[in-house]
Amino acid sequence: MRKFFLGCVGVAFSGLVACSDLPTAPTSSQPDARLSGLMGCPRGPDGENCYTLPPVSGGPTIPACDPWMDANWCKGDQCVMGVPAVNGPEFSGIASCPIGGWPIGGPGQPGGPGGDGGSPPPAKPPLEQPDTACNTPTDQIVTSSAIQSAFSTIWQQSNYGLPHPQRREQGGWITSDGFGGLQFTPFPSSWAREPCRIGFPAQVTPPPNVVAWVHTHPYRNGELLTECQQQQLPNGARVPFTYRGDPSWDDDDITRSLRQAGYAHVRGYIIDEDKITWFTGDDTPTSVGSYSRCGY
Amino acid sequence: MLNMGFLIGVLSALTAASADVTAAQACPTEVPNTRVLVERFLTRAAHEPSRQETGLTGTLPSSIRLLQSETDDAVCARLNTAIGSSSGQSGPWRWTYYTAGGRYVVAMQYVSPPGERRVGFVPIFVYDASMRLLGTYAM
Repeated sequence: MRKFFLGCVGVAFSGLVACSDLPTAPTSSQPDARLSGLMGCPRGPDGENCYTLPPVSGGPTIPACDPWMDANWCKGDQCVMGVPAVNGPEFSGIASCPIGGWPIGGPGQPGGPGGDGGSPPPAKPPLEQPDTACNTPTDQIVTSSAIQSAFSTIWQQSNYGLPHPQRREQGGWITSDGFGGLQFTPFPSSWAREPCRIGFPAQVTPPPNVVAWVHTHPYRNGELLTECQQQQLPNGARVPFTYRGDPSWDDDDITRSLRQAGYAHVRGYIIDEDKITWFTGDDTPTSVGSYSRCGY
Repeated sequence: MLNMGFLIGVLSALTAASADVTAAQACPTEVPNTRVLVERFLTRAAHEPSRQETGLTGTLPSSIRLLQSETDDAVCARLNTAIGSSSGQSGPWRWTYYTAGGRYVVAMQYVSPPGERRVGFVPIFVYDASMRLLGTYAM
């Protein structure tokens, strides 16, 4: 059973650490630096930097186990990667965590060198258990059962399978609950949902603890879009467009805008008939990727 | 003494004719964020099937060239006819003409109305040298 890690996002939003993106689980082909005890937050799939944690010495004896596969904290978990609540008891722990995350047994922490040695560590937040049926081990948002449930809901609301005029793009914000879990909040109902677009307001203000936004493209790769507003040419001709499963320029643009507005780690997700696509809004080869369809 | 009415009529006719020629042959001015659509079409992995359909596989973004008046008037006139407008804009839409890999590409952007930020697809149209529409793609 894999743990749910989200510390980098939460810590980044607390303004304490610039650890940037969701950690990735190790794969058989790519050794995970975190397992060596050196990395507190492995590099995310979009290549952003994470900080290096020094090895923790002292503290209580932590049993050896696979930090990715065992739900109990174990050797290799220098910092709990759950998301702390600002001003909560976990917050002070973060402040003294050497680089990032929420320390456990580290220097200056309960049970660690310089700590009081006796006071109990703060209660661990409940860990969200990912849906292990999904073969998308590198993204804790996609493997979140709560988010998969949201994916399922908005996909159903998108009316894929019905004629194009009845389809609707749907979407919402993915936020951290502050305790290692994720939540989904649909976009306001006042935002227009149409077959090929969502009508955002001119000024978009996401929730402060946003980590991503997701929306549907209720189409499959190669499908001809017949109901998009922009099909009407000036000469009156209507031309269907071919859908290719890529984030639209607008999708990238709004993600860029969010990141530039201070939501520096926000990602976009698109779910369509074929797959899940994540994107950061940059026009680089590493700014977009996809997973197998999962959870919807 | 000149007949002023006749003179005004002649001048008006000449002005109208000149405007028609200009409108029919001018290439639209480049619109922001349209070149990037063509670049994405040429580089994004998801659009590889589209590149195959249009014969643009392997075409580099560096080969994209803006069609400009004077040098490309004849081509722009044909594209204007295909699109149905010579102004480069219609309603909320603005577009630019490019050529790359022996194809002509019309890339459109949408200008959102006040108070809204539309998040949807924008199209590009790919034509061959004979102005045959090879494909239209959501970007």
